[in-house]
Amino acid sequence: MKKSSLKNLLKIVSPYKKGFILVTILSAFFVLSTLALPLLFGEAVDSIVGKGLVDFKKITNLFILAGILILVAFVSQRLLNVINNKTTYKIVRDLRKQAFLKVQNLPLSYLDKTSSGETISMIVSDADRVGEGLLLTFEQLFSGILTIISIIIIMLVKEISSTGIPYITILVLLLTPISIFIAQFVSKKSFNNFKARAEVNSKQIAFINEHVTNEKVIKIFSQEQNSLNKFKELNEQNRKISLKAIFFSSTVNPTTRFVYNVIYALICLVGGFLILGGAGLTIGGLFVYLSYANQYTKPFNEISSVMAELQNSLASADRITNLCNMANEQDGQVKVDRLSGQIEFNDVSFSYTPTKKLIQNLSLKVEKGQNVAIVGPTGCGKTTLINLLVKFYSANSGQIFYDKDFIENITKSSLRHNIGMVLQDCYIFTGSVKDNVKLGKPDATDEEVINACKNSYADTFIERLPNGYDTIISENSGLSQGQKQLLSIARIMLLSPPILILDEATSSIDFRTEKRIQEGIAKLSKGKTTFTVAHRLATIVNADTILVMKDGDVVEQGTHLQLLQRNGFYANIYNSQFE
Amino acid sequence: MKRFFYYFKGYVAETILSPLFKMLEAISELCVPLVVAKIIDVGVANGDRAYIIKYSLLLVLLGVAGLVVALFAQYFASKSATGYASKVRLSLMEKTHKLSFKQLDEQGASKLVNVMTEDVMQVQTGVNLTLRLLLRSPFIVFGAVLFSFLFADAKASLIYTVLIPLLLFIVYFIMTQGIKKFKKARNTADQMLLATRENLYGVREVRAFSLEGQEEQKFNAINENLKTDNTKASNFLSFLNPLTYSLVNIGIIILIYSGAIRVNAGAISTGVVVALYNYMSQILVELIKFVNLTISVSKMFASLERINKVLDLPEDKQEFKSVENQKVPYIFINGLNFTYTNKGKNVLDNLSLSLEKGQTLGIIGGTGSGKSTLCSLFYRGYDSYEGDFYINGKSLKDYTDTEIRQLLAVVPQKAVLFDGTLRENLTWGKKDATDKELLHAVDMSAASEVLNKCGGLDGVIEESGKNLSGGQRQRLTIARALVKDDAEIIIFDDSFSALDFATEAKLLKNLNSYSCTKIIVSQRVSSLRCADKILVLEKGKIDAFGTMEEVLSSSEIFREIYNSQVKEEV
Repeated sequence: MKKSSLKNLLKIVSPYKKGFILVTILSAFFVLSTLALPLLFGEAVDSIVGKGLVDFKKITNLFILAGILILVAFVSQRLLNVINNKTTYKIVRDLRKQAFLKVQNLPLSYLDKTSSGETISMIVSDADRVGEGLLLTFEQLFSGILTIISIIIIMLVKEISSTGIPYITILVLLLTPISIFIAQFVSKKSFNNFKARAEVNSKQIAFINEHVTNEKVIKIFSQEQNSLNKFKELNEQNRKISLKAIFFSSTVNPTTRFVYNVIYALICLVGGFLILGGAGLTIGGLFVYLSYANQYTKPFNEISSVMAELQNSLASADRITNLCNMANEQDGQVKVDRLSGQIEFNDVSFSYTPTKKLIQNLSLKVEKGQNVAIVGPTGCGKTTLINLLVKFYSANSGQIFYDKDFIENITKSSLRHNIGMVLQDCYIFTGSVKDNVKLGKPDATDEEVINACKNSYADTFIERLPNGYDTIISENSGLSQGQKQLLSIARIMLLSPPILILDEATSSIDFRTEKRIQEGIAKLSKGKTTFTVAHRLATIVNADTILVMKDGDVVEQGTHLQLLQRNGFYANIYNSQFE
Repeated sequence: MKRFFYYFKGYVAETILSPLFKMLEAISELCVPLVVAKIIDVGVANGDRAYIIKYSLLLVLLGVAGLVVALFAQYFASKSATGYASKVRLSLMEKTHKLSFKQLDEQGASKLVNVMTEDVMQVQTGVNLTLRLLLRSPFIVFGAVLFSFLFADAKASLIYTVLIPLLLFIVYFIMTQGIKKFKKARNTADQMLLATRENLYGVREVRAFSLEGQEEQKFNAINENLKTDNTKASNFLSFLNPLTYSLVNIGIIILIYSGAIRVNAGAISTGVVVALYNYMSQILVELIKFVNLTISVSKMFASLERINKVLDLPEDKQEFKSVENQKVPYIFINGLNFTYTNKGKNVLDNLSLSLEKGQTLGIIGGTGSGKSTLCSLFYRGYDSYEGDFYINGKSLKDYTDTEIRQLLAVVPQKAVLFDGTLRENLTWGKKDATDKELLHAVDMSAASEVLNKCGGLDGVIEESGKNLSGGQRQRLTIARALVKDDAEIIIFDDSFSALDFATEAKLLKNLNSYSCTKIIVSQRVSSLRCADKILVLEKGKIDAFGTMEEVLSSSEIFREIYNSQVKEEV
């Protein structure tokens, strides 16, 4: 068990000290009443001496006491479980909450690089694993420790009062570390195995996520077998490592049980010799110690299996903690109100990976209300430029200014409230059409929503859906790319922010609809700064300025006519479409 | 239930041996008191030190035997449980691959993913614990009951005939109710997975619209529900432990008291009462273990039910009937109607068209006019259409999915690639494609620069291809389709949308060297320049069908598109 992992888990648990303490107190009640009960029964049996010699009065009194103890045990165990469940599921909830919150604040660069499936599995599965381990720990660890301590005290008191020197108790105490040592050894092994398993597991979950989500594509290409073969490989890996992890953790129990069998045998041996040696030990006394030794093993077994199971939780807690310890995305402090739309790039350089340079020393000034078009071959950095504009990514060097504010000083949310974006790969959330359009303005009225959809011409297809604006749609509900884009445009029609970014916003929309939307967009973008990325050059010929990009650089800039006259790269692209 | 046992196949030996070894362990444990009795009754009583040493050693030996069989039992249980889980997971994946498009739409990816991961995990835990305790607990419980009937006092043992059924009933009741509650919790877990997935997959929207707060609220609400559901289910089940504990102890009180009466009357001896008490205590300890198993088993059954629901989804039966080829054009569609849901309006309405082999069909029309739907009928995404649909003289309904998909190469609208190397992604259409063939396809789809960016054929594509831009992905999906050189029909479902005109023009030119039948769906007239026939769709109906000249003269819509695009371009 790694110390840091334990620390991670403790940190997760520490806000719930109250529940912890309550569970400990209740455990004490439970353990003491369950330990006392057999004593009462023993005394009751002792009162049954023989025919006509039964002390019924004593037995009745003992049983009334026993009844009370049973009640105490019932209530304390019930409460213990309820508090335990409540606390643990609260911890699981908070872990998820924390992890989810973290994901909201992680830089996009991190999320783009890591597999979404693995992040999902941390929030969903790993949190569950932590909970499972905690439930068991709370339930059995304290009661186990308490039982052990109580038994040692009882044995010690009994032995000292009867024989003077507590040989047997000392024997038990001396041998106990062996089992602790074994448990520790196995725990260590289990931890590594469980960690490896958590990794393989999350890889498999990522695979399942990817393949199930895109199942249709797999079917179209008849790749079921291929996908299955890969899955089998991962599945087999998972099986093997799970077998190892589960088996290792399950060896703790039999091994410690074995150690106690040895202790048991030694007590018999030493006890037998003590009786024969006349040390004052009686046969009846030996029986009592043996039965305590027996009771002593049970909690040890429980504790050692808790320890093994806990490894699984620790491994998962580690993964979640690592996620939660990732640095948050930097956010500025300046809350901008409504931006004018004036933007300046000053010597901006950016690359996703240090080895592959992308945007280099880009300087650019956009006046408010300007209509800027960005063109260039795919992969030239158009989308990257937009990523920088909306602060999805931050420039490696150089500055971007909105009005006079340095972009890094502006808060993300106030900046993005000023920007309306339509992305090429727009995403539809599970929910009604209405909710999807209202994304940026949850308090919009139905009328506003319908108006926005009419302006974006999404209205026609929405009306043909089974329940119109209330139809539940999702990413995979069968909407075409074009329909998604129409909804995406409706989203910003509703917002009317001062800056618009249209990244291939109409690439999948049919031409007639696009033409009509253009009018709507033109109306919307009046007086607003607009960035348009488009392949269909026809849509951008009217732009105030066209940025022609190539390999991360703006190679040409000017109006359509100016650029054509230059007869450079732009003219080349433009003419190529008529070849 | 039949299915529950089915997955043990291949692990039968382990599955049987594990509980058996557990039983052996129990026997070795049951022997311990007998040996101890010998040590005291014979060794100590006779003052025989050698005897004490000998029998103490025997105790250690019993311990060793217990350890060995227990280790075997644990190993077999782990092996069987993990094997079981991996088989269930595999058959769920297999099942997913067999689901129809409609079923996939209905089930939703989140639920399928959750069933395949978390539910299977619950089953694994359940099986593991069941095997370990299945024989051990009942063996000890019934053994103890039997012993007390035979060797102690039958009359006093009658208490078991009330107690054990009562306990079983309680366990049964709490378990069945618990399963219901756990199932509810699992369904809430589906919602949570959905919320998490959408948040991550739609992260750009979330950020662009500053939805972080809103998303958190949504997630927290579901998270809260899940907490409540889980707590409720667990609280309910945890009634079992205190209940069994109290009942057994009340049983002990009754046992001792009735024993006391009988001893007082001289019917039995005190020793018998002690024996009865000892048996009852043993039962108690074992029952508590068994009850803990019940919790895991309830979770397991809740999950198994969900798993079964997926596995029980009906499969489309495909009959292999040989039909005589009809003498109709290569692609022949007549009076085709289609709707996704029974209630909805027709998405395709009375479509008729025909196309000869090797020709190129262009499909153009507004967003939502049914273009993609028509494509999905080609590759049999849905086959609940009405009317005639023939390919190569054979009705589409007479093809198997495999046959029809072998015939086709498709570039889907959504450009999706999969985690793996570029080569792995490209060889989808042709397993044994050579590098030369792959590079040719890449070249033909103007994706050479993408190839370079990835670092060659062995370059890595990340999950869903997210390390590439939309246009780059699109070109690779085109290459993927072109690799499949034995395809008779290639369908491009709006596959040029993210390409600039220069690239598109180059691509179309390259496509001329492929002699197969091509179906090109597009919004742009420019993509349809080489089409032999053009289908103009409007709200699911045919607006016009024919050559470029024909549709130009007959379709107002097409004319409008043509004029706007070509005019502006020229």
